[in-house]
Amino acid sequence: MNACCDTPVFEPPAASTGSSLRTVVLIGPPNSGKSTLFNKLTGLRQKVANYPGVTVEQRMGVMAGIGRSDLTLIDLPGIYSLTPYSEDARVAVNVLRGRMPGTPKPDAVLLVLDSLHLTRQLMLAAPVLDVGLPTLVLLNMSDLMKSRGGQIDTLKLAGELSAPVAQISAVRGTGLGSVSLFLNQQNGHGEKNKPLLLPVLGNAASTHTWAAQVSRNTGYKAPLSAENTRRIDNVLLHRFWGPLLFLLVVIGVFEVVFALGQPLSDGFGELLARIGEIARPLIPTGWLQSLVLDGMWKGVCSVLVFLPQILLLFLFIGILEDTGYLARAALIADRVMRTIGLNGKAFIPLLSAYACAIPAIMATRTIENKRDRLATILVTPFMTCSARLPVYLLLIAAFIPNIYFLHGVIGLRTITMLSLYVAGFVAAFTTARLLKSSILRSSDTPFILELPQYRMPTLYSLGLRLMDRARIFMKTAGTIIVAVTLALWALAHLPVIHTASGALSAPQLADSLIGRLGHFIEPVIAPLGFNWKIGIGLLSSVLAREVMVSTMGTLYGADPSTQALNLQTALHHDMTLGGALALMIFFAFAMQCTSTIAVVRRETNSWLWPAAQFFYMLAMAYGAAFAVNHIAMAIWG
Amino acid sequence: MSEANTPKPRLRPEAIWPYTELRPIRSYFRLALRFGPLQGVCQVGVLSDLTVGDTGVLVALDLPENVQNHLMHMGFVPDAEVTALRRAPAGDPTVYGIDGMEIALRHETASAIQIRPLEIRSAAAQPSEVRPNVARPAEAPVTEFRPIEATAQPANGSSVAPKRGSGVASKLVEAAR
Repeated sequence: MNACCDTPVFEPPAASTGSSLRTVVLIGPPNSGKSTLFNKLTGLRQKVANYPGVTVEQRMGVMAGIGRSDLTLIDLPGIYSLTPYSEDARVAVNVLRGRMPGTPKPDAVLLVLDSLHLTRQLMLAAPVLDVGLPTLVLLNMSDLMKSRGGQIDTLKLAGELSAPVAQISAVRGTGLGSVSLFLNQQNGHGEKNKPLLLPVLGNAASTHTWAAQVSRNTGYKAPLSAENTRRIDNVLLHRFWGPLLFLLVVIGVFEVVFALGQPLSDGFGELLARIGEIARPLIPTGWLQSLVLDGMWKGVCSVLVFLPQILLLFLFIGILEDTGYLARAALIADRVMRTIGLNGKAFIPLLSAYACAIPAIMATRTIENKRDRLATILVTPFMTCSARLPVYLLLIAAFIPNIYFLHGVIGLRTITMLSLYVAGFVAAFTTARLLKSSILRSSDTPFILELPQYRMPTLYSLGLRLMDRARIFMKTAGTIIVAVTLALWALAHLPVIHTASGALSAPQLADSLIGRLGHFIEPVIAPLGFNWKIGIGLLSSVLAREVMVSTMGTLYGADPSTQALNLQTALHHDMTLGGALALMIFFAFAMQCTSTIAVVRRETNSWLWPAAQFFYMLAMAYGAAFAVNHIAMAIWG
Repeated sequence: MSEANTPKPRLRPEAIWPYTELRPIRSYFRLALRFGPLQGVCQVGVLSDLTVGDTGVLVALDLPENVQNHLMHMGFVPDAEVTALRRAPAGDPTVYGIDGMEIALRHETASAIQIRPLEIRSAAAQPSEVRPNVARPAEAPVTEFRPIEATAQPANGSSVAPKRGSGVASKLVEAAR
């Protein structure tokens, strides 16, 4: 990059594109609405939310949304400048410059700027225009700007930038015609743009002066700052009410998951069971019926039952993310995070790990300091992800009595659930503290966080999230769980034995292959209060935590003595209260998720970290479960 | 919030005398800065000293290269106006308003950012009074951010005697003349 380029003549790189335009890239500052626009232009469903740093890697899609399926659109993480500060920004800059392996070199740029804060956002325009690709400048959220009394002369701005400028609203989908128009023009012979006066690049102060001058010349009038955001923050970031409200929201979420979600889940479970009964006459009796209904269907149902409760949890997380509260939570948590040697930014991945650890580990790319990022990755799987929820819900419903305290305000089941979440949280914090004070010690990196304005979450985006999550959940149920159940069912019915009468028959469960395997590992887990069936469940749950529930469903389905019972009752055959508590604690700490191991391997680029993490968490889970079981035995005999 | 209606950049003596163990000397400085012979000497303070609701003008950043670059691209450039909007519940990260954006910084970062007091606003309202020897260049960027108290400000024009709290600021203006 040339340091000083006062009058660069930029034109489409004729040599590489010729007449054809193939790849278009979306770039802009964080939280300016690139992914929303990406979804509109491609018809895809990239995750969007209201905080900076939602997108952390490049995402590609064809522009089918505006009928240009011949073009590839790349969505990028938000950047403040072309000098990358964090990992996600590095990705964006590399793609823009065509230096990212596996990603095509862009032929044109859509620069998305938030027109509510145009002066500052224009600072990015200078270096992006200097890259020299044909650029369309899109002023997003123009509807909000106008309704709040802001204004801008787009023609003048286009003149100042020598690039076409259009006002759009990605959420409403207005102004997208300009994008197709721009792309159609580029398809022909590239017209030469006029020279452009740019500031000294790389010097933030001169870029700022330039941006301010441009915005002044174009008659930009900033909209009134959103007083609502300040007013809401007066309460939510209040010294006393802020943290209290935060706690109340968290407790409320779990209460709702139980109080409202449990009946929903029960109804859903009954519906699924009825479907099974309707299908029963359709399948010939014998081993096939046993396989399909008692094995597969029972296994899949036992997990699917929890879908309503998981969706409720996701609804709340979605509301937190879309309103912009997540960034405030990071601000509140910074003080606590500092004591463990991390900063508030690490809190955003940790919070989103309540949904799932995999996107959370990806989200650590926004953490600038490499050591901080590694520490966050290593402790993220301790956070209680939604895959643990089926196991907790099942065990709590089976073993914890439904008692309410404080005149029905808070239930014992909610308390148990909350303490499991707290246990995960405490484990994450302690581990982070250990890591940061030993092998990952580093000097403090500054905490710099942009707080987005509050926005009302739209029903549409929340609905999309829930549908996507439901689909992922069903997909797991349809693939991993079906496969595991099939394997388990087969193992439970082999080897085939000859009965006294000479007919072939399945062995007793304890004598089957699975039974022998279970009995083989039983001595290891017996001190935790688990018998061999739970051991099989633990083994299978390494694939994914919720498989535990389906495994138990299949095993009890295969055992004649428990076949007729529901899962909760059947569990009482095998477990004491101590064992159940120990099992829950085991799940709170153990890293039973192959996808998480794979993503940690990818993000840390080594097998060392995921291996260390797996065994550390396993040891912790074993120790805690052992302690809990023995304490419970001492108390309740 | 009635205090916020008058701009009174508060400069802590620690900014120029950071040795806490020498308390008597420090308290002398504090009194001297506030009421005594040193009134108006301290032209530069740091961002973390800004009380909530007050606005200062950014002078320089004293941070590692990459952090500084990042902050500057977020709008923390010399001559930008920064307002301390609120402190986090735990008291530490403070939310600063700059260019209409809200950005949270920790105390140690903010204390490496030097600011000077906001000049009396009426200078902008009455262009004839703009003095050439003010540090701010004539081509200073007009930032779109206006602090909350800006609307209440014109009543407190240069002819009106500043209140007690804004002693340092008025001294500064005097010194600049």
